[in-house]
Amino acid sequence: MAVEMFFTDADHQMSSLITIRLHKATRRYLIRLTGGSNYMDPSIGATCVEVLSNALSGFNGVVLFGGTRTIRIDDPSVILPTISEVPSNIKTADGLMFFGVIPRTSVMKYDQNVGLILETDFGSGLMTIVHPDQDVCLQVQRNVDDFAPWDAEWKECSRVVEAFTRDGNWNSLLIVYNGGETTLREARHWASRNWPILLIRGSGRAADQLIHELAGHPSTLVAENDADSVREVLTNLKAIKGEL
Amino acid sequence: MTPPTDVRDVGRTGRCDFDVITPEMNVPAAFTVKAMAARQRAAVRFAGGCKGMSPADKLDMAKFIMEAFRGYQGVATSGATSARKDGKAISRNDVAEVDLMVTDLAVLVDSDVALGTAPRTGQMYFAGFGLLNLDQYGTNPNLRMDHILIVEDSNADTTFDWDGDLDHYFRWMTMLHREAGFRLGLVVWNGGAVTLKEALEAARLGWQVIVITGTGRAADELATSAEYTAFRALDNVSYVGKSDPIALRAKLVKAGFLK
Repeated sequence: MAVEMFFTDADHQMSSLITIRLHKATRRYLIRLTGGSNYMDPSIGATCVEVLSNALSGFNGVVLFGGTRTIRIDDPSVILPTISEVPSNIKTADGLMFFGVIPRTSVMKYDQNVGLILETDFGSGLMTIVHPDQDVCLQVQRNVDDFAPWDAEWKECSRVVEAFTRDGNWNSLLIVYNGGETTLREARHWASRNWPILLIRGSGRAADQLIHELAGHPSTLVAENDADSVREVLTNLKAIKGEL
Repeated sequence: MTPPTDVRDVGRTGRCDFDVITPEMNVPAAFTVKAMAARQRAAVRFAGGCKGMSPADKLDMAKFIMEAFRGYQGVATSGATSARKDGKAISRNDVAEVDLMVTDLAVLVDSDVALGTAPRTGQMYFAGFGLLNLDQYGTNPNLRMDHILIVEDSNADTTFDWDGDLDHYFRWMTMLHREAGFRLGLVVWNGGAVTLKEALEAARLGWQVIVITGTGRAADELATSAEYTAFRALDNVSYVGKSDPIALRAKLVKAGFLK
């Protein structure tokens, strides 16, 4: 898969070119995956990838995610299981598109073996690279000299959701699995807009905290931490089957 | 012609989105999302004017274009201005009573979405509650469009000429064609110097340019002046008389804008 790379300054205009690209999806549905990344326990991460990729089998809309992959510095073939590994494990369907948004949090480097390196953490022995399995990747920065905060990712994704759902009659869903403070802020933003949210019970941290915080919220649903339970919700929301 | 019964005052969904952009900005993604929602990947721009036309001529213009575009499911676009009746942009119900403009055509024809652009050529102001004028002559925004863009100079104290939005709309429509396979068309009715510019540029870019002859000024110059011989020789340029909607419709069908 060749990744189309785009670069923008944070808070700059949303791209019409990317807008057109995303309309190649068959289903007018945006599913935003948010939650555990490098701070998620790897065993929880492995479950995350298995549950969500199986639940999303057959989905042929647009998956919005943080467009990165985390690998070991000493062995780049070892991939850390994070929520960003869900898309590439979804069984391929015609019209399925992956749109990754990456906040530039340090100086990027190009390596001929692993591609674009976003961050290197020698303390943990991990390196973050541009995920090779996505159709469109948008990197967000403040400017050449100043980096973007981590929140830039979800804010950019929210702008896409806003434009597509308001002006193009697309549907949307935020799926929250585990996650930290940034995830909490994103979910609260979605809740404030009454956009649909699916929280995975038992995935830990932000997801389980939000189940209590958003109890009774009109656009928030909860599924158990297994593929069938998540898939049932997706089916009811017509994300994977049925006419929109 | 029977007026539709679901005429809305503002856009098709009860709103006309409105943005002001400067030359270094791109067309907003929301504008593009609306275009991408059209059932047909086609965009037709109505260009020109109505100088020297009588009210009866203008009514005939509306009937001609509406008949020719019957059943069109793409994007209709033009300048973002409108004649006004009782303080509102005109609808199909009003055509017989109002001094029409070519820029009204984009909301009178069948289409899935109507989008407009205009340069800021003067001081915008509110003449009363909710009554926005775009310049000192009382030029009105066409609120029946789904989204209108005003292109203003980067300096809030200076204004553009009437060609100030051409760069934006040409670049945007070219992107729709290049990236999403939109068919592009320009219909020319009457018009002045800016219309000549639009017609020549659209033809150069390979759009289907249809000039309506007998409408006066730029349209008739393009049809008859020796200066435009090369323009007339282009395969993507054609001419239709102003009294023959069937002929225009046939051209639209042949060019893939109508089924």
